[in-house]
Amino acid sequence: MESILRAASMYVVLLLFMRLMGRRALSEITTFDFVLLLIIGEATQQALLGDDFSLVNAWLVIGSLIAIELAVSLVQERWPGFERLVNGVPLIVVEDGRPLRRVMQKARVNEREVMEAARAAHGLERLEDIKFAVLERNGGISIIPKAR
Amino acid sequence: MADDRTVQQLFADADAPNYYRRSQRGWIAQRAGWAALAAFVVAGAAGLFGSGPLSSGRIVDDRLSVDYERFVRRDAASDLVFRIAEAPGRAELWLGGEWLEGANVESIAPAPVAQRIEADRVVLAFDVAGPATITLRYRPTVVGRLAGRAGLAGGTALSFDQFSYP
Repeated sequence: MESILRAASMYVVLLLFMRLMGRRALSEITTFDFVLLLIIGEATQQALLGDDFSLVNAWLVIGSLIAIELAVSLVQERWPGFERLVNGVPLIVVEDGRPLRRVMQKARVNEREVMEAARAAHGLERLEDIKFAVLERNGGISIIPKAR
Repeated sequence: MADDRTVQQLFADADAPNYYRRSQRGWIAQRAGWAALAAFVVAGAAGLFGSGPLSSGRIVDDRLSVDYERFVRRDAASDLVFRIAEAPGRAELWLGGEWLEGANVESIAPAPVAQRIEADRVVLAFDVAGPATITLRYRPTVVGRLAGRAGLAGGTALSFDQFSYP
């Protein structure tokens, strides 16, 4: 019982915090970000297991986390609104070669990053060659080039 | 939906006709797994693996009652709560030796004023005035059955059975 409550509360809190952090946070991971994640993991581990070192407790905590994750994905499948709440929506940041500055600013993406993605995926040299650049929900930028 | 021929081309797989049946079986197995996982978590919430309504037990006789967990986990702290109804002056509470072999007692609150070892049990003495509650915190050190016996000196023996998970 207690293990399940611990797992559920940590799931909710972590989900909330990760959403607050925004989607760009994890896509460009620096050494410091990585260390920060490790520390968060450590703190989470303490909260999840407490001083209960039994095997069954670990099974229960892992089982609850996976069950919650599954339940959330099933709910997302049924109610798209819930999915938007949990994962956000894809954002268009460049349209017909024009950067949408307000969106980019809010989502903390700059032109340099968009061009990086454009070069990597399609070998594009200029912003004008991009038809759409979309900031996906996982923080990656996908590029649709203009037909030449 | 792709037919068997398409699958055969795509994966260069001669077993293509079995493809759908196999993936179907995979889905069924996955759903069964989900059901098992849900059952596991629900059982956990109910207390089948400790701490929950299925797990909390109580044994009562006229002078003493014991609250205990039916399901405990090895190396995880748990409490035995003894309630002494009435014992003028000194109350002597004893615990069976067999149970003590399988559990590591971490604390007894309030602390006993005296302890004594007898043949197959340990006797703890407390100064009480009126009803008293004594909490004994322990961690099981064994996996499997833990047979507990406790009582007040001169009273009947209460036995409680516990199961310790790994």
